[in-house]
Amino acid sequence: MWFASSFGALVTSVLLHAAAARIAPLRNRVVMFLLIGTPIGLMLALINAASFGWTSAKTLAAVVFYAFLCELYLFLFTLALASISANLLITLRGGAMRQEDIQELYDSRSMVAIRFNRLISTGLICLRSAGLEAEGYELTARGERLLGALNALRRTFRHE
Amino acid sequence: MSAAKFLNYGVAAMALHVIAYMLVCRPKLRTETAILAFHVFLALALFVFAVIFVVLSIDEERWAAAVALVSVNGIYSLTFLELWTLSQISYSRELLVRAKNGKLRSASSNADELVRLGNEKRSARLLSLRSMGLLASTEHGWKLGRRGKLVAAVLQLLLWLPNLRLRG
Repeated sequence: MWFASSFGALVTSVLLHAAAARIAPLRNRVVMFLLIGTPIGLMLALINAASFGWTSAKTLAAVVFYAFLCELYLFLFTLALASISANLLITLRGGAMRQEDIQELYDSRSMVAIRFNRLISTGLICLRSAGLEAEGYELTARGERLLGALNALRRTFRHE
Repeated sequence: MSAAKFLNYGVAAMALHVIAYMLVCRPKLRTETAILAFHVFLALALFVFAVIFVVLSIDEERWAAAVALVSVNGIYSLTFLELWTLSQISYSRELLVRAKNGKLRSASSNADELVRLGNEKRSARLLSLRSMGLLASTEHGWKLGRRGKLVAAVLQLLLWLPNLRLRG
């Protein structure tokens, strides 16, 4: 029962997330899934604890298995969104493409533009006040925090 | 061995994995393949440990403990690998750095330098997808292989469920 309850909780989270994503299509999907999935996970813990007790391995397994499935789902749909390889595979469902068409579709310049627009829409960069200075973009406070975190991770993983 | 002891040993193995990475392996694990292999090694070891634990005395509590350990390891490795990949070089981080240094004008004016990040990988990407059996090259260009059709269908479902359209 505990194993099936984890899957049931995941299916419920995914379906509610799908509905919410259609009601509020401009909201961040990851945050939306966390807001929906977390209370469902808590309910899962309560239901299993009521049956097996808080210290039972079954309660722990139900909750961590659900948490793992949720993380896997988040990883997979963000991968499908951001990965160029994933995008290419989806595009080819519409039929074969010539090398030149693929190069045009996935022109690196347009990839940069898409990233750029995403940084603006998520509030990480903003237009600097015009005044006497030339137009340009600057980091928002949120962008500063994110860049700080990314740099800390780079140092931790020795990417530099 | 009790379920609690089994879980403690498993978590201790993950803690040792982190310590080994931080103190010894970090300078050597610089590529995606290497870091993935490092985590696959732990995953396989814990999986074998879990199977042995369950097989020794089959009851639901032991089976639950085994699933819990494998799930915790899954969360650990997935989180680690996501953070590792996220902090590698990327268009987004390069744009943020330029914005911080006051050098970000617009996407088009900065694109020349940043385009180099993508161009090198594009050809390698097509060949890599072909070697995995996901793409096939024909006289007309590129098409999905049999495995590629299944993968592409799953990816499409993963975009459809959360109502995602913009790709890139």
